[in-house]
Amino acid sequence: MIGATMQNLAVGAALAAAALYLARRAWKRVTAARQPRSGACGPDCGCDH
Amino acid sequence: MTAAAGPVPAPPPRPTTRPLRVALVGNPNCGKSTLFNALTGRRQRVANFPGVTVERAEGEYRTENGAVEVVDLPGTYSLSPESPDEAIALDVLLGRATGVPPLDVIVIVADAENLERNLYLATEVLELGRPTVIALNRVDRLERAGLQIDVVELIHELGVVVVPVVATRGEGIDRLRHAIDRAVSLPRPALALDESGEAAAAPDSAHAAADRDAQRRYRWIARVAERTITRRAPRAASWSDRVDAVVLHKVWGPLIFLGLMLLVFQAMFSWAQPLADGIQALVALTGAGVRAAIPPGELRSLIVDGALGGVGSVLVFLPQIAILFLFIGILEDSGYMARAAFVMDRYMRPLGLHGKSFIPLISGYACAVPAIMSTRTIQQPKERLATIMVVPLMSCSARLPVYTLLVAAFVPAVAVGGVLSLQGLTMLGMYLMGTVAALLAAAVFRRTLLRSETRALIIELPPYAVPSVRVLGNSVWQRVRLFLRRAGTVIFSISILLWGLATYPRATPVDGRPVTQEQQLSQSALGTLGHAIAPAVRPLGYDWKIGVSMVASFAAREVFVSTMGTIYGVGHEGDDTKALGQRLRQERDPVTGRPAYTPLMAIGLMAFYVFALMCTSTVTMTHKETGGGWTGARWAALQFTYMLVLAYGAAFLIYHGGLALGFGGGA
Repeated sequence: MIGATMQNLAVGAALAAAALYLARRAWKRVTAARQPRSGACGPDCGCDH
Repeated sequence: MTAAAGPVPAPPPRPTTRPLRVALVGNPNCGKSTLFNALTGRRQRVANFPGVTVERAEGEYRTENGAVEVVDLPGTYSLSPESPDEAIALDVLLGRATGVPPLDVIVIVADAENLERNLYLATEVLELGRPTVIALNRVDRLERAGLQIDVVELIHELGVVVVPVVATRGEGIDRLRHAIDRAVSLPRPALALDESGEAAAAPDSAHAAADRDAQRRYRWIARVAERTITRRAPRAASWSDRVDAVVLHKVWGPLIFLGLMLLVFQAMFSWAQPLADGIQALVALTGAGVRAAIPPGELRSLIVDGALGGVGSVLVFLPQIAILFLFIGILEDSGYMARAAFVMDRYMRPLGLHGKSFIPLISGYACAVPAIMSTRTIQQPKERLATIMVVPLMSCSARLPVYTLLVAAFVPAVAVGGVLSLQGLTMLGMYLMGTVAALLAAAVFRRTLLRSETRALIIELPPYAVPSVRVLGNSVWQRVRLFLRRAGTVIFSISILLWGLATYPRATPVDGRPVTQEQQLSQSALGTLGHAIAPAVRPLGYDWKIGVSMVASFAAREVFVSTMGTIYGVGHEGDDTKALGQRLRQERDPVTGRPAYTPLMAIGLMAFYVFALMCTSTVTMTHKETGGGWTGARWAALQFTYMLVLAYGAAFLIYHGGLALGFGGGA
C-alpha cells in the first residue's frame, strides 16, 4: 500500500516534472522559431518539417 | 517501351568518401516524393495532386560505395520560378540555398505519360552540365495510355542515362541507385538544342528572348518525341473524361463536393461512435483499476481525476480523427482534390481568391501549419498573403474534439429526413461556417489591404487512381500517432498541472462542515483564476469553468476538452464512468438549479472555436511565411486579432440573438 506521505511526494514530483516539461517545450519552440528553416513546426504540428 | 534488363553490375568506386549528394527534380505531381520514399525508406507525404511538396526534404540510403544523401525538391515546370516553392527548387539546384552543400548528381523525375511536357524542364537541367540521371516514372501506365517509349533512343537523344521506374511499387529502384552511383564518373551531359534561325537573332527584349528560347526548346522536344514516342490511334473519350464531365460540371460539381463533405461528417459520427464508446469504457476501466490498486489520497486523485480525466476525455475522439484523415487521404490520393479546386475556382474568383488557394484551404481541415506552407504554390504574392490570412479559419482537426464533445452532449442524435443525422449536419454546419468565413474574410482582404488582379487558374488534373492502401494507412497512422503523442505529452502534462491548480490550496472548512468538492474547486487556484476570467466570458453566457478551459486551450485547442475533463474529474470524484458530455448535460447552476449549459451556449462556444486562432504554431508559421521580422509580426498580429474579434462577436451574437428569440440561456 502507498502511504499518504509517499503519495504526496509522488504528486509533488509529477507536478514538477509536468511544469518542467511544458517550460522546456515552450523554450524549444521559441528558439526553433528563431532558426531560419525549422520555423514554427514544433514536434506536434504534423507537417514533418 | 523498350529498356535494358538483367542483373545490375557493380558500379565503379566513388572518388571520395563523403556522402554523394543527389537532388530529385521534376514537374509537380510526377512522383518525386514517392520516388524519394522508395529510395530512402522515409515516409514523406505523398498525394495525387500538384503542389504537395513545398519545402525540400532530405533522406539517405547506403550502397556498397557509401552513403547517398537525397534531397526531394518541390515540383517546378521550368528553371524560371514563378512561385516561392519553385524558387526553393531552383536555389538548391544552382547551389544558392543556404546550408545546402553543392549537389553531385541531379535526378530528373519525368512522368512517362506526359514525357513531352516533362522534357521542357529536362532540357534546362541538362544545360546546367551537371551529372544527371533521368528516372522515367510511371512506365506501368504507358500501355493503358496507348503509348510506347523507346528508352534506348531517348538515352541517345538526351545523352544521359534514362532509368524506367515505377516508384509506387519500387520497381527499377536498384537500377536507379546504380545509375546515380555511376553518374559522377560518366561524361557530363552536353545537350545541343536547335541554334538556327531566329534563335541567333539579337533579342529586342527579355520577354521576346525568353519566348524564342521556349520555342527553341519546344521544337527540339517535338523532334525527340517523334523519334522516341509511339502513339496508338487516339481513343474516344476515356472513362476518366466521362467522370470529369460530371465531377467538373458547373452544377453537379459543387453538389458532388458538398455531398462528399456531408458523407465525411455523417461517417465521423455514425462510424466512430462504437469505437469512441469502447475507448470511453477502457478509460473508465483503467480508472476503476487504479482506484482498486491505490488507497484514497492525492496520488490516486492525480492519476484518476487529473491524468485519466484529462487525457481520457481527449482520447475518446481518436476514431473521429482517424476517419477524417482517412477521407482526406482518399480525396487526395484519388485525384479528386485538383478537380475540386477547379470546380471551386468559379466561386472563389469573385471573392478575389485564386483556384489554387482552394487546396491550402482544404488542407486547413487537417492542420493550418502545413496548409500555410502549401500556399507557396500560389504565384501572386497578394493572393498568397490573403490565403495565408484566412487558412486558420478552416476548422482543423484540433477543433474536432471540441465540436464532437459539444455536439454529442447538446445536439440530439435524431435523423433528419430519415437518413441524415442531426449531429452530422451540425458538424457540417461548423465546418461550413469556417469555410464561408474564410472566403468572406479573403474577399475583404482582397478589396482592402491586398488588392490586385486575380489570375486565371491553370491546374494540371492528375489521372484518377484507386487510393493506395499503403499511402492511406500511412497517412492515417501518422495522424493517429501525432494525436497520441500530443495526448501523451502536452495534454498529459497540462492535465497534471491543471489538476494541481484545481486541488490546491486546500479549502478550509466553514463552521466545521466538511468541504464539498464543488467548494474545493471554486476556492482552488484554478477556481480563483477562473473567477478572475469570468467577467470576460460572462457576456457570452459562460461560467468560470468554461472561461478557464478556453484560456488553457490557447496552448492547444484540445486542451479545452481535457481541462473540462480534469475540472469535472476533480469536482465529481469517484464518478468516472460518465462521459464528459453526459456530465456537462447534467450540470446544474447551484443558484437557480437550471441546466448550467444549454444547446444555445454550446452553439455559441463552437462558433468561438470556429473563428478563434488558438494555436501558437499557426501564429509562428504565419509570421515566417509573411516575411518574418516586423512585417511578419504585423501580419501575424492582425490575423490573431481579427480572428479573436470574429470569435467573440459571433459567440456574443449567437448567445444574445438566441436569448432574444426565446431559445433559452444558461448559467
